[in-house]
Formats: sequence, C-alpha cells, structure tokens
Amino acid sequence: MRRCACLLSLVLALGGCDDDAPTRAISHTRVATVPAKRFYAQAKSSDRFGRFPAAPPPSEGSPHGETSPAPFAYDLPEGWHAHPPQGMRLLSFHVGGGHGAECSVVHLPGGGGGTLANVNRWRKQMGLAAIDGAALAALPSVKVLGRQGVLVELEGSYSGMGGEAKPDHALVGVIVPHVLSGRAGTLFIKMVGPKQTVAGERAHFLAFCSSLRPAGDGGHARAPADGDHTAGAPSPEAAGPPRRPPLPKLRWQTPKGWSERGPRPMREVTFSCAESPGVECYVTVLRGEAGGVRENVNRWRKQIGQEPLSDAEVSALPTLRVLDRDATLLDAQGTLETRDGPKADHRLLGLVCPQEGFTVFVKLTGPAEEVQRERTRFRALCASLALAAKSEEAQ
Amino acid sequence: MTSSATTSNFRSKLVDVLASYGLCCVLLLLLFVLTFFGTLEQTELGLYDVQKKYFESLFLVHWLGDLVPVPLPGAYLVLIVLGVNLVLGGVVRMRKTKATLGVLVTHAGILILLLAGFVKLKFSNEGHLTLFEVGRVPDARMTRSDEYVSYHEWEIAIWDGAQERDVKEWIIPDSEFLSLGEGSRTFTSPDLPFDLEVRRVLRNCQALPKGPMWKAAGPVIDGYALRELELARENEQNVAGLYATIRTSSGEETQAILWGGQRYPLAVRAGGRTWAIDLRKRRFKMPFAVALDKFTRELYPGTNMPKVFKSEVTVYEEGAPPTKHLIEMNEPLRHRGLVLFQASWGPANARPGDPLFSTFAVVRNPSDYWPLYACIVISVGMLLAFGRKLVASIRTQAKQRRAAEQTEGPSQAPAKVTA
Repeated sequence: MRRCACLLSLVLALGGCDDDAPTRAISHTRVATVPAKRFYAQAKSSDRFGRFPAAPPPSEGSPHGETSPAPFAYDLPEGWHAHPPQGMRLLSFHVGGGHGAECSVVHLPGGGGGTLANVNRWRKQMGLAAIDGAALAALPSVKVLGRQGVLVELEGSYSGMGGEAKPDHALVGVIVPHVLSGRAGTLFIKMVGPKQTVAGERAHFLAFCSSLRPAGDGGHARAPADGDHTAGAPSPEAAGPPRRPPLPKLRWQTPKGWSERGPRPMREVTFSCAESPGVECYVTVLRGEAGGVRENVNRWRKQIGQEPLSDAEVSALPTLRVLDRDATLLDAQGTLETRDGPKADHRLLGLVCPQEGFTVFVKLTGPAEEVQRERTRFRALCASLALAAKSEEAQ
Repeated sequence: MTSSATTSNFRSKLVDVLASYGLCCVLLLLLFVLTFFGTLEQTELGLYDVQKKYFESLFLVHWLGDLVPVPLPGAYLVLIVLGVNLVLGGVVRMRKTKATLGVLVTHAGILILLLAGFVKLKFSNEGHLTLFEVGRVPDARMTRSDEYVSYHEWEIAIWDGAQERDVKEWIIPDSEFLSLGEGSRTFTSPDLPFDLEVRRVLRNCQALPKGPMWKAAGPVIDGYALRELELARENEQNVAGLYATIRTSSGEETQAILWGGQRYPLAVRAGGRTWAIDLRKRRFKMPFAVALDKFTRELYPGTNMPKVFKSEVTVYEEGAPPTKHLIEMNEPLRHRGLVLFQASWGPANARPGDPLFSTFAVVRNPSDYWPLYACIVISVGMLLAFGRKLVASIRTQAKQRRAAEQTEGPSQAPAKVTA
C-alpha cells in the first residue's frame, strides 16, 4: 500500500511539473568569444530577412551611407537613372527621362510561384486575361545571365499593385531562372510605363538585360570606361556610356535539312533541324572576350551538369578553324538545365571563337541521339561562318 | 500466505522473467523488428525523426500501410531491459566458475557497449563547423571559430549588442518554446531590462514581405510575415520562426518576427542599451579555436565524385602554441574530447577561383572510445570461452589418442627377435 502511495506521489509530482507555465525564467547563460552574428542596430526587417547584406553601419563601411553591393553589374542605358533599391527590388531605375516609366529587378527563391502565374500576374496588372501554358510556350525567349528567359510584352491599363488603373501603358518583362548567392530562384526584370516611353526604351531594356552579369565577376565585367555600373553604387550618370562601334555581321551556309527560324534577341541566327526536332542551334556574337573561353566553356558545362575544366583541360579541347582562328569546341553530355526544367541524356555542342574585339559563339543542344546525328552539320555550319561584307552589313 | 512472502515470491518471479533467455530472445527479436520498421519508415520520415521515433523512444505506434496500428516498445526501452536482462541473467545469476569466465567477460563487454550507447544518447552532442580559408573572406568569424552549430536544435540568444568580445548570452533552449505552436510563453531574467514573449512558433517557415501573392496567417510586422511551410523530410532543412513581443520595464512594447534564417539579430532598445535577439541553431563552445588555413579538393575527372578533400587547420588554445593539423576523409582530428570529421565543402555552384568553405562534423561524445574497449573485452571473453573449449578439446583428443595407443599397443608392438 505504502509503495502504491509512493508511486502515486511520484506520478503526481511528475505530472505536476509546470510544463505549460506561461512564464519562465531564463536559466541558461554562456559566454561567447565573439558575437555569433554581425549586429546592426539599424537593421530593418528587409535587412534582416532579405537575401543581401544591409548597408553597413558607419563604423564598418563608408561614412557616406552608400548602399551595399548587390549581386549584379550592368551597363546603364543612356537616359536611365538608378535610384536606391527598395523592398524586394535589387535594382531600380527611372527610365526615359522622367516620363513615368521605371524598371526594376527582383529575385525570388525557387520559381517565385511559377513562370505562368507570374506572366498572368503581370497580365492582370495590365488588365489583360490570363493565358495558358501553350500560349506561354509560344512567347519569345531572351538570354539573361547565361539562361534563357521568357520575354513578356504587354499593353493595357496598368494598375500595378492594386492602384488606380493608368491607361495606355505598356510592360516589358523578362522572367529567367537564376542562382543568386547559392540559392536557386527566379529573376524578374520589369519595365513599365506609358506606352510611348516603353516602346522607345525597349531596345535599351533588352540591352540592359543582356548586360546583366554577376558583380565583381572579372570575367564578365567590362572596363569601367564602358559605362559599367554596379548596383547600389552607380557611377556619375552624367558621364554616360560612350558609343561603341557596332558588332560585325556574320554570314553562313545553312546546313542541308536545317532551317532558319525567326529573329531572337541576342542571336545572329537560330536553326531548327527537320530530322531532329529536339535540336536547336544558334549563333551569337558578343563584344570583347565576353568572359573568355574557359568561362564560357565552363558555363556551358555547368548548364549540362558537368564540372568546370581547368585552363590546361580547356587548352586540350579540340579546335576547329573558324574565321581564320582556332576556335574551341566543346562536346558535353549530361542533364541539361532548360527553362522547362532539367532534361536528362542531352548533349551540348559548343564553339567559342574569340576574334579581334568580339567573340562568336555557336551552340547546339538537344537529345543525345539527335545531336549525334547533327554533329557533322554543326561542324559544317561553324566552318562556313564568315564576316559579312560591308555592303551586306548595310543591308 | 503473508504479504511479505507474496512480495518476495513476486520479486523472485519478476527476477526470473527479467533474467530469462526467453526475454533475451524476445528483446533481440524486437530490436530486429524496430530496425526493420525504422528502416522502412525512412522512406516517409527523415533520419532524425525516425531516430527519435524508433530508437530514442520508450513506446511508439507503427502503422502498417496506414491502416493497422502496431504498438511497439521503443529501442531505448528495449535496450534498457536488455541491459537488465544481461546483468541479471548473464552476470548476477550466472555460475562463476573457470568454465564460465569467458562468457562472463563477453557479457561484460556487451554491457560496456550498451552503456556506451546510453552515454552517447544522454551526454553527447554534435554539430558542424563551417570555415572559409583565412584571408579569402572579410569576416574573420567565417575563417576561425571556437563554436560549432547544432544540426537540429534551435535556441533564442540575447546579448548586449555593444559587446564585441567575451559576450554574455542569455539562452532559451528550443525545448522551452518550439512546441508552443499557437500558444505563448514569456521569458524573464532579473539581469535583462525586458521580458520576451514568444508565440505562434512554426517549425518550418519563411519570413517574406507580405504581397498580394500569398495570405499571411499571422500578423504582418514591418511589412513582413511568416509563411508556414510543410515540414521537410530532413529535419536540418526546417527553419523555425516565431512572433515575439518585447516588453520593457517602462511598459514599452515592441512586436517583432524572429526567423531562423535571419541575416541580422533583432535590435531592441531597453535599459539604455541596445540588445540583440537572435533565433539560431544551438551553438556549442569548444575549448579551442580552429582556423582553416587551406582547403584542397580533387574530383575524379569528369565526375562530381570526390577523390580527395582535405583541410589544413590550425588549432589555437589558450596557453599553448598554435598547432597545425590535417583533417581529411576518414582522418578526423581528435582533440580535447571532440572529434572533427571532414564532412563536406561548398558552395556547390562555386566557379574556379571562388572562395570555398570546408565543413567539419563535430562530435562531443564522452563514450567515443567505449565501443572499441567493448570490442576488446568481448574479444578477450570469446577468446577465453572458445580458447578454453579448444584446449579442452585438444586435451580430450590427446587423452583419447593415448588411450587408443595403450589399448592397441601390445598387438601393434613388433615381435622381439631373439638370437
């Protein structure tokens, strides 16, 4: 009996432990050699929860209150004015000389809700009906930061985030997957404003998109004299970007069985192959070294899930004589990252041909079997590349 | 029959059961079943949750095909009973003779093994230490540290933001707030000029700016709210978050969000000082600091398979000169009761020339070497047991041979040749 009483007391004692007490004393303390995290007394929620460092406190950085470096460098188009990023915006610009147009760059983790949902969100902002997946697939693509993104162009009454609708507005936007600070996500580049202004700034917008590159990326960054800007630390806008000579035009012989597709931003030409419907090939010309041979070879290898190569390994790659230079040929197989997600058993044939003042890129991707079939034609296309005569360029 | 006799009888029967071979067999069978179910369950739950449910619990319910509940004792309970069984049946009640010495020693070895497991469960901890190479990143905290970070446990830490060295931290372990859910609790300390109320605790969430694309279940503070996410299968991937109210002694209230992924701690002004409040993974202090001098990685050509990855580190200890060590796969650094294993490296998407970091798994386990000692003891025990049998067998055979020789001797002996 006594044992039972003892047991009951124990159970009651345990049960009576004040586990749900609304108030508790903090009983644990420790001494850390240094604070585990940098402390910033002025940090707002956007600094604390954002993906990029907040402006450093005066003791740590510039006393002039400069904003912190953001992850991109870019060429600032003429007439654009950078202003400090707000909220989720990494970059923000007034566009078109104060005519109410603006451009912003936002990065969201993951798919940010999905491309279709975001395209439809933009359409809703412009007072347009939603589209379906098939219509989305038909949208043109544009290459930003080495990835193919969807180019969206809309006209309508812009109501933004629920504000008053503004008629005769236009929106040009790009949605592109991008890994930022090690986090896979989606980049949203959007220019919106009065229809006239947006139409006039469309070319600048596309040039801006194609000029985006990782900040501090020596391989991609051009000389500051080219009007280079790093987000958050804009250089004097008065200087403006100097005019650059136009890129040379190329000509080529379309391989048998291939056909040229419509013009695409940043591409000289895009081919599709009748016998190999999964294959796409295109030619691009970029100014300068465009990052260099190794960077571009490794960028392509990364796209197809392969490890980067060292300088020595890149030097050992096969070459092909193109435009009187030895161009580096890449042939890699693996899982190709595409806008529609990863695709296994794909193959990438690439050619990087540095020239005086510009670099030519030829890239062919598709299912491994189909690429094998088109391999000879790819080499034939590369070998056929030639500089267009001045008269042809003028045309 | 008197009550004392009844009690004595019951005790005797209980000891009989606890010391029986039958119980031992049942327990071993249960361990097999638990291991089997636990392994299967890993397809649904992560390793951490399975470990908690099947191997660190007293009881559990396993569902067969989500239809039939099977109540089972947890491996923790089974191993305790197995230990009792082994002590009573395999040591206390066993005849202590020369013949049973080997078995006794073997049982002692198994007990050491069980004890090692118990000590590890109760007194060990583990985490990771991630360091960049010295000089490759500007923040010295990322290249040298005397702390490692838990993989699973959270804590709320409060410290005076003005302190830069030997920082006193007030710690609230996650056992006191993680299971609050929608409830709330206020934490106080006479040394702090404010109380901290914690509520709406989420085990996996994300702090996001409130926009039109999602609906916040909780309050929106400073434009941000916590968005609850489904629990990840691997517990390490869950990021906790909570809403907090800071009440100063002067009656001021500050509403805030604490999120496990926050870049900076929350700053609160109270008592004439600015306090930092951070929700973070639990941190353990080491009796020495480690700095990463050089990290080397080599992959098999054309693959992502690591051929070699190794870290050259310097260990700094108070009152001792710095010492250099090499940590590589299967070659950990064992120092002052801690073991640092080369675990991983990153970032995974690093390009040539990018600064890399090296991650060490750090384990503090007082019974680190006990399994080795247990194996030695078990080997000695088995050597004694089987060695004795071998000697006995050899002796028996020799005796039989001699006996056979003696019986067969006269007939086999050659005849004497006489002149």
